[in-house]
Amino acid sequence: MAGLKTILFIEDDRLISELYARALSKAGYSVKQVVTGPNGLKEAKTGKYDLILLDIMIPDITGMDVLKELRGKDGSGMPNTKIVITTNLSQDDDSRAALEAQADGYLVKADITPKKLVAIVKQIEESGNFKQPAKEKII
Amino acid sequence: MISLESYKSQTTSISVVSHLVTAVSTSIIWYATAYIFDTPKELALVMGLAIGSLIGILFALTLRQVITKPVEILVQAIMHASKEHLDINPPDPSKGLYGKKFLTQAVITINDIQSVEDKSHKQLKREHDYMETLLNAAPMPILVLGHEQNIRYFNQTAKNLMSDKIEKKIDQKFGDMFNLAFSEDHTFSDWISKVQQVGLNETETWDRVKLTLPDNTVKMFDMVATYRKDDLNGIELLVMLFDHDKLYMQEADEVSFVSLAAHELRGPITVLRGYIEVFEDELGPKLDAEQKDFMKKMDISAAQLVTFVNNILNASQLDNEQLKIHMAKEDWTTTLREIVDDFKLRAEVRNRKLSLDLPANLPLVAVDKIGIYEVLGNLIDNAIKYSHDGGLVQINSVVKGNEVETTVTDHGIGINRAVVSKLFQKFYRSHRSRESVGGTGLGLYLAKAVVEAHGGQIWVRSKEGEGTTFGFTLPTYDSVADKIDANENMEITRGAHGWIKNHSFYRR
Repeated sequence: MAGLKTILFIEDDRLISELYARALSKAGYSVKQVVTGPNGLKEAKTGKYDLILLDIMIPDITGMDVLKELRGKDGSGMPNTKIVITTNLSQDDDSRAALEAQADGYLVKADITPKKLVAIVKQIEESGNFKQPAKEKII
Repeated sequence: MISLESYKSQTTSISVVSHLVTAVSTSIIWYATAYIFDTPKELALVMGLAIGSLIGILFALTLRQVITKPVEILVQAIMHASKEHLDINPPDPSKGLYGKKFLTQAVITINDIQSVEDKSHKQLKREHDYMETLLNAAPMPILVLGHEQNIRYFNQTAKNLMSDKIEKKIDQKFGDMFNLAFSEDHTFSDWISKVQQVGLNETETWDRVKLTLPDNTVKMFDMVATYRKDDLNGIELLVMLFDHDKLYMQEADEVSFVSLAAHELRGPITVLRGYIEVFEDELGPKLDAEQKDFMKKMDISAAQLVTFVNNILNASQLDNEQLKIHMAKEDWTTTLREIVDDFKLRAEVRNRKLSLDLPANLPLVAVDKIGIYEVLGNLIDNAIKYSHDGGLVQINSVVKGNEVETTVTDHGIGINRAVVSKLFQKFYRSHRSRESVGGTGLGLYLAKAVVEAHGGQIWVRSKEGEGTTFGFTLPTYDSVADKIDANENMEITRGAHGWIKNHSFYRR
C-alpha cells in the first residue's frame, strides 16, 4: 500500500499512545491520537486515514463495535483504510476470530516496542500484507 | 365359613319334600273326592290336579325365596363389587328368607375380595405417584432414550430446561433436541455406537458438556449415561445431566479475573519497554559501556515480565481447560530463526551464547507460533539458567518420520535424577534452582501442555555436572493436512485437552 501517510490511533491510555505516536511521527508518518471510541469513530469515518490502530478496550463503545461500524455488515466498508487491532487482553477464541475476520491485523501491545511497530507499519506500507512474526498476533 | 354343604342338603331336602307333598296331596284329594265324596272320576281327577297344582305353585313360590333369591343376592353383590354397574346397590342379605347366615357370609366375602383389590390398587397408585414425584423432584434432567436415541421419557426438570419444547414433538431424537458440545474427543454419539455393538451394561460420564438452550444461552453440565442392553422394562438408555454451570462459570470468571489482571499489568509493561527502547536508541551514543549494560538489563527484565504475565495467564487458562492453540502451516526453519534471534539478547546479557544448528530441508510444520514461541522461550530460559557463565546453549532440529524434533541443550550443572521426573509439574522448582535462579515454576508445566496440545511430546535428559537436553516434537504439516479446513486458510485449532474446533463449532 504505497504512500501510507496518515495514521489514526484510537487508544485510551495516553502513555501508550504517546509512546507509539512519537515513534511513528519520527518515522515520517502523520499521526492523530484520539482517546475515546465515539470520537475515534467520527474521526475514522472522515476517510482521511490510511491506517487505523484501534484499541479493543476503549471507553463508551467497544473496539469491536467501532470495527463493525467501519467495516459494515459485509466487511467491505472503507476498503482503502487498513485497520489493525491493538490490545493487551488475552482474547477468547471467538472474539479473536471475529476480530481477525474484519481487521487487517491484531497486535498485543506488551509485545510491541515502538521500533517494532514502525517496522510493522513499514511492512504494511510496502506489501499491503505481512507475515506473522513469531511474537505478534498478526494475520 | 360358608355352610355350603348344609345349604345344599337343606335346599335339596326342601325341594324333594315339596315335590312329594305336592304328589301326595294330589293323590289324596283325588282319592277323597272320588271315593269319599262320590264325585264322578273325571271331575275327581280334575279337582285333584287343580288343587295339587295350587299346592305345588305355592311351594314353588316358597322355593324361590330359598333358591333363586340367594342367587339373585349373590349376583347383585358381585356386580356391585365389580364396580362396573355403579347404579346397583349392595344387597341386603337380611331380605333373603332362607340361608341368611350363609348369604351374609358370602356377601361379606365378596366385599372383602373387592376391598383387598381396591387396597392393592391404591397402593400401586401410591407407589407409582411416589416414583413419579421422585423423578420429577430430582433437580437434574433425567431422560430415557430408545434404540434410535429417540426420547421416550423425560422428567419435569428436563422439560423445564428445554422450555417445554420437549413435549411438542413426540419421539424426537435426543441429538436434535439437545444441542450438546463435548470438551473431549469422545462424544456421546461415539460412545453409543460403540456400546450398542459390544456392550451389555455400560456407564459413561462426560465433564464440561456445553448445552446450548433454545434461547441460545449456554449452560455447562456433567453428563452420565447408562446403557442396559435389551432391558425388559424398556429402559435401554438412561441419561442424566448435572448442572455445574455455577462451578464452570465461576472458573470462567476466575479466568476472566486473571485475564483482566494480565491486561492491567501489561499496560505499564508496554510503556516501560517502549521507553527503555527509546533511551537505548536515543541516549545510546551518550552512554558509557556500563550504562549501556544497564539499559540492556532493563530491557530483558521488561521482556521477562511479559513472559511471566503470559505464563500466569496461560496457566490459569490451562487449569480451567480454556487454553487453546491455533495450529497453522509454518516453515519451521524461518520460525526457529526468528524466535532464537529474539532470545539472543537475553542470552547475551546473562553472558551465555545461543547457537542454532539446522539441516537444510526442514519441512513445513503445523504449529501455533505464539504457543511454540513460549515453549522455546521457557526451554531456552531454563538452559540459560542452568548453564555456566559463558556457556553455550545449542538449539537443533531434525526430521523424524512424521515429526520434527527440536532440542535445546546446555552444558551446565545438570539436573538430579529424582528431580527430572517432577520437572513438568506445576510450580515445581528444585531446591537447587531456587537458590540461584528465579522463575515461577510454570514454564515447563505450560511447555508440556502446549506441546501435547500439538499432538507432540516433550522430554528431558540430564546428567548432573554435565548438562541437560530438553526436546519436543511437532507434527509435520503434511501429516495433519487432512484435518485442516480447506476453506479457512489452513488452520486447525485444538485445545490443551483436545477440543477440536472449526469455525467455532465444538466437536459434537
